[in-house]
Amino acid sequence: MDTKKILEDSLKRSDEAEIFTVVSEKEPVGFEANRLKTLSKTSGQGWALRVIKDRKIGLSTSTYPNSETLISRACDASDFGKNVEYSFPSNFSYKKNKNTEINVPLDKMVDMGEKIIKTLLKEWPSLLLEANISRSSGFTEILNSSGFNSSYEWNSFSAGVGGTLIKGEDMLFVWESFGWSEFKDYSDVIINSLHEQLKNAENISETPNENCPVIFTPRGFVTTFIEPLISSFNGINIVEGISPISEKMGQKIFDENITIVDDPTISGALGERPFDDEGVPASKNTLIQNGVISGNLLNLESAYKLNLQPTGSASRSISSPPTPSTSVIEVKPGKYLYKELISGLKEGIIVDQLLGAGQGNELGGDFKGNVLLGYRVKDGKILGRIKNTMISGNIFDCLKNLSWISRDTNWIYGSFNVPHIMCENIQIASST
Amino acid sequence: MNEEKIKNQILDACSSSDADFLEIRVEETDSTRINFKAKKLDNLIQNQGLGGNVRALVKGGWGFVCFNDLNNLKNNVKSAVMQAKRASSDNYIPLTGFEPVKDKIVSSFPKSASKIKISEKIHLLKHYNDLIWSTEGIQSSDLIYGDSVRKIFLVNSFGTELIQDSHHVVFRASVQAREGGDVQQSGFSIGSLGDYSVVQGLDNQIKDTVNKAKTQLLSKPVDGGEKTVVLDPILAGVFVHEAFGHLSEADHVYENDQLKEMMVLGKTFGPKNLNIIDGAQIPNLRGSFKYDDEGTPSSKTDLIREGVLVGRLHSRETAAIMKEKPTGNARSIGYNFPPIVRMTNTLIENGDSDLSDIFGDIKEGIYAKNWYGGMTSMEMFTFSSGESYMIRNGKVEEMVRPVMLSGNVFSTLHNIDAIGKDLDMNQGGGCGKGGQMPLPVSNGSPHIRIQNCLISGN
Repeated sequence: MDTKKILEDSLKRSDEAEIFTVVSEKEPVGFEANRLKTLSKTSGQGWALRVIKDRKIGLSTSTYPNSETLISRACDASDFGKNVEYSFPSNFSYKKNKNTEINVPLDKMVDMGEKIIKTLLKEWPSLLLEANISRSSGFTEILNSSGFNSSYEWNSFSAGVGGTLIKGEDMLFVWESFGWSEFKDYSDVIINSLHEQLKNAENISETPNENCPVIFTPRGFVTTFIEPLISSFNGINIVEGISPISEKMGQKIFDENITIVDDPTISGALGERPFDDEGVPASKNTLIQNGVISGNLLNLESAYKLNLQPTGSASRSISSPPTPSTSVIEVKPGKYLYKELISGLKEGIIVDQLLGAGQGNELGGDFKGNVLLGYRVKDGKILGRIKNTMISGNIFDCLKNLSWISRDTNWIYGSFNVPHIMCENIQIASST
Repeated sequence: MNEEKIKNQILDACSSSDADFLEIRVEETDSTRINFKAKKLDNLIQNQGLGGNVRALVKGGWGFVCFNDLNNLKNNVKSAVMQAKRASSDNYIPLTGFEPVKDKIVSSFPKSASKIKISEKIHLLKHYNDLIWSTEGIQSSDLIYGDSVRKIFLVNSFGTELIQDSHHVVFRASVQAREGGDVQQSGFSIGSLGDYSVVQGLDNQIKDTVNKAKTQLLSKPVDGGEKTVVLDPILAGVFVHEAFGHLSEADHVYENDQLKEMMVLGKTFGPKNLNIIDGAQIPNLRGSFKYDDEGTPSSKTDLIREGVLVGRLHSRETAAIMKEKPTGNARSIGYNFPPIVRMTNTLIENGDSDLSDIFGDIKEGIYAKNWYGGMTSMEMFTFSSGESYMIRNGKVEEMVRPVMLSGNVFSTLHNIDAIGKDLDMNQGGGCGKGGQMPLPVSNGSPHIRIQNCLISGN
């Protein structure tokens, strides 16, 4: 579709306009029940048009080229639209990222899956594995009436492998995944991680009766804490006064060792981008500096309402309006290695996967869930897997004082670089 | 788009392959979403969509190609067949028992949401929003209204030619109250198969939600542990969906010998008075339809009869491989996904307990109502209440903070010791599986009581 023409035509019926285009292609190779099952190719395209007329904004979207409907619907919607006092941002110059094409052949992706499955089945013959190995690429473009006219290309390669092991009426699920903007052969890392999970989970251990320290692996941290954290720093929730940190900018409310940064400039991470989905330049955004609230996630609208500069945090899909979100999250590591920290621990549980995280009152910072994959630690050793166990807590309570943060970090989904942490103040409930 | 033109284009492309099975599905969608946040209209979005996919099967291997541009159909067919060949193997079970259908389904009902003017929808939402903000002590609120029309064209190499539309309306209201750093919320969701009248006349429910958000702020947390719980029909609906529904989806079982053994028909899962069914054939619910996304006629499947596992949900492929009958449960959320085995309308049938008996002999327990979410990993599952109350000596007493409940499929169903006779359906939910979310489903139950149910503290 001729986006320049859409912009021109929209401006005949409105005062300001912005057209957002996404084109993407994804090719996953899928394994089921230990064998290659499906090859797919998913292509998508979409356009989202926002117009401002008499300071009121309207939006319409489409996945097929039908510019007349797109324009008339956006203009009609603006009649009912909310008032906006901001304008779309103007162009800026940035260094185009090197055009790294994803050139891994499908056969290599199939080989990777087969190698992982074959290796793990040797030691665990009754393991049932599924895998999804995928390459994708895409293109994002924004054109607006303030003169913004830029685009960027992105690529990703990801691999996720899950295993199920059933003994009687006991089911064990293990899972590992990796992603990055270029091809990397993750097979050994995945094999080692799944191997370790299977080993640690070999025996079932009793959940400690008393509330004991809880260790979150990097994946456990992302599942449990990231959503409530993002929700608190989300500019829209701050504007509405429903974020618990609404009036706490500059205050120290977390452990002094906690520093969390949202950084879309980290090269190669999934989420790296030169500008956000409204055309605001991407930059490093420190959310928590040594326990002090020092930033938040703002799109154009929430920035305007808070009288702050937008932080380049707007994200959108084709069919939804831009809202504040994160790009690439880094949690600053601590001093000691995870293994050393575990070996010095008398009693505790490790949470690696939490089922139902996100169903609690996230706005208030609450989290709870069933420990889908977790272990008991006693006298420095991992005894085995814990089952039928729920944990619950509040991020503002349990991130206030951390027992420790590990020096080693893991990249989760290519977008979160996170250490292991240990905290107290978490309620543990289990059935006997 | 021109209906005949699309159909002929698809038929033409479908005739040209050497796959064991080829299917082309094209979809046209149109949807509207209106969102009020706090005191104002926040967003009004209209989305129009067109896209399709080709699915090819060659010796047990699948190829799947999805696209927005319909002008390249024949090439897409070629790619899908090539992919399927790459994934094929010599050890496979062919798709059998495929009865082709030729049909055209056009839904019609008196108050179709797609025919209501946008200004009228906004007016109604504004009325509800004003109602929320006419009370004191509210920090923020969200009203989300959505309606959609999806028209699919489905053609396959076994002779199916189907045109079918589906309409949906959803509405969710949530209200947030705040005291210092404590933020609490209350909400409800409803939905229908395109009938707009379901979102009208909700004043009392809105007022009730506002009051509950405020009361919740004053309520106390409970300690986690095993407790006697009573679930209302809405939350019990979510319970049956998470606790048992997903495990009855045959795609988890069909290639897993151990799970097949564990889920063998005839195995006892619950008490004698427990009966669970699923079926899109049950009319006028959000999971109702005439044909699934593979063109299989919908049905009604007994999953648990008198506590015993008697059936499961199938796609064409899982049915063929397990040598059982397809049930019409292959569903896809849109053209960019292949159909997979999904639930439709899932429910626990009425039992024989009066409400007074269900609560009557509980010394101390939790009454959990309304839903916030649910998830399963087959064996373990969690589901969250929207509101919770203490039960003492058979009486429902003060509100407490909403609890999350968790269970184990092999024990929790056995712990159901009372089933009411007030079956009600929850129409406001959506189900997620394999990245496809939210798929319209409904679920329901009468009031049920569960002994020793694990709940989380807050």
